[in-house]
Amino acid sequence: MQYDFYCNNEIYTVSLEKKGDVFEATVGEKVYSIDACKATDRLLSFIVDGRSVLAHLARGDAGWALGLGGKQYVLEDPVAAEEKSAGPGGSGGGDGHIATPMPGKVVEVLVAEGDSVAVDQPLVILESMKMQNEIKSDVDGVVSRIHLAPGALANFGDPLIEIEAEQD
Amino acid sequence: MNKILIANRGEIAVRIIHACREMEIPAVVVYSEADRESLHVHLADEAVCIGPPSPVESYLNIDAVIDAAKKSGADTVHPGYGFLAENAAFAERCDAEGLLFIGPPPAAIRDMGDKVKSRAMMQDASVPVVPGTTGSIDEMDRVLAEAAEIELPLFVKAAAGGGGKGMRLVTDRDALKSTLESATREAAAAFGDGTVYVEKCLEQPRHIEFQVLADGHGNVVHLFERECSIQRRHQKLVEETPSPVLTPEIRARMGEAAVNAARAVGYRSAGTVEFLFDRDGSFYFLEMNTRIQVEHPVTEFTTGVDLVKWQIRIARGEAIDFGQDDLVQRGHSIECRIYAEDAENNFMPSTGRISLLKEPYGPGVRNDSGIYEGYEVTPHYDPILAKLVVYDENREMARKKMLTALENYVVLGIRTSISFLRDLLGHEAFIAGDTFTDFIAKNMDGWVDSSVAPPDDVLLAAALAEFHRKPAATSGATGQTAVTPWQTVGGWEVGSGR
Repeated sequence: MQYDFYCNNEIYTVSLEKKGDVFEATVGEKVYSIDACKATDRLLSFIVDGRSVLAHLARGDAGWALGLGGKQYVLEDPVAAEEKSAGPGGSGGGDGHIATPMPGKVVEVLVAEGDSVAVDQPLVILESMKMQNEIKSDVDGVVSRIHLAPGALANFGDPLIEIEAEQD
Repeated sequence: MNKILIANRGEIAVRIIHACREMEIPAVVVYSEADRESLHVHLADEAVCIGPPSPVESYLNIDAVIDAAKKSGADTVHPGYGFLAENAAFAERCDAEGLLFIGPPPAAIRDMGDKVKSRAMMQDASVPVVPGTTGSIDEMDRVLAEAAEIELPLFVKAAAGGGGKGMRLVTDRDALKSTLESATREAAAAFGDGTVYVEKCLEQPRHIEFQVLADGHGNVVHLFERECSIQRRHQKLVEETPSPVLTPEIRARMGEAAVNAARAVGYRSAGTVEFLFDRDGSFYFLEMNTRIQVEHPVTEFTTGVDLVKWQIRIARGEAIDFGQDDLVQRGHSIECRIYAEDAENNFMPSTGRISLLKEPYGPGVRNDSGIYEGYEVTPHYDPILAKLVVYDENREMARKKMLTALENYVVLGIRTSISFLRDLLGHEAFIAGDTFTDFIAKNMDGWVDSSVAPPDDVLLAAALAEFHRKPAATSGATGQTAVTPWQTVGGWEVGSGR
């Protein structure tokens, strides 16, 4: 059996073959022997080349979230990942409608109407529960409208800034 | 005391419920419409919905909270931290409505909330404050004369400013006069108030605070310090006690200053006196937090005193039954705050459903949590999920215990600070105790999770998981419980417009 996983813009392929009580797995050039695999729908334990590995896992619609060695990994199904990245959007992937990602108070507006902005350029400082968060642009373009002034209280999803996306 | 209303949510509400249970006092909680599935609602004896998700309409809504207390028959209110905890008007309203407020008298909250007044009160009580001047620029000669006594570098600050606005650094005494003048003009234009003052600039200070406990019978004790220097954007991330730098002599002096500060404002209940600690061993009063502090568990571990239970006991009139000399600081405790956030992406909050949760346990490990597996983290409130606290004989043993506990802390479905915290605790500057307030900017800037490329073990695990996957889960008709592993990314990515 061959399995493909999508992670951080890369596709990784694992071949797995059950040989009696053990598995033989291939990742790239490397061949591994896996023994004593114990699996539930949330926990996986196995011995690979003599080392014991314990992984916690949760299956989502589009792939696996996996906790191993104190870190978290997300391995998506390549098909689902492809569909996601093929979504609509201008240069930079966003649509230029910048809304508040959290309720909070507008501390500072860093741009003015008519300003040219680039992807990831900070637009607004929004304070939420003592935290100051930079709200960044999701497109290259020109600021066409600013909805909220410093001091304004914003609810979740309120429009903040409109950006006219640059035409490619 | 028949019943306590807890006017809070999340892990601190759960912490207070624990204390109520142990003291056999029924606990009522309040919740917003966004918190129907929150852990505190399900653990409490009773729960009252007090309004829409927006904090202003729910957890900060004094009328709604008072109403919930009356409806439920609670006679006492515990405000927790944040929300209404340091709101003098709320404490006064509780008094007026015949409800017992677990906390200090309203006047103490009000006095400590006023930075200019509390500074003057502390000076009167011989508690050291950051050397500085007061008065307007009209008295330029006096300001200059006073400033001449203060060691360089200096800060010129606008009285109406804050958060670094209207603040200027002066490293050359000759430039002071012109800086004062321009800062006055700028402050007048920006804030409508040109009042400026000069303050000593502390280079690389530490943030060290002292826990105090005061009862209504004139007893005030301190329960030693907490070192809280590791912060980002003024929010603490890691706290520990004892501080790696205090000598017994400085500790005793700071503790005495903290007790004096509490006495000066007529304090009652648990409170925290914050100090800036300079490299030369001087310390200066920063502010007093008139509430239970997030990081109180490290003090509970090292002193054996249950601070929340004492808040309740003091509120019902009990006297503290131990003296300062009975208190001993034993061992070392570290707390890590587990936030729902993306440390790689400017600590942006992360939301979504927790698809898997495995909490660490073991000797000397405490996890004060407000979450459970299947819980959905919403964008409405503080991103703190839990506090992981460890205790061991000394700092290095506690540090290693924390690293192990973090490694055994698995939260899937949302991004958390766990991986960042592991790298922070493993940093040589942390190991050396070089914990200054600029620690994160200096040592962790541009941090990226080293797990960018998945190791082979991870790929093998995923392939094995896929192999063992039950066919039912592949049909796509997984129903309401189905979650994408990064469900939150879509909702939270900045500018996503949703």
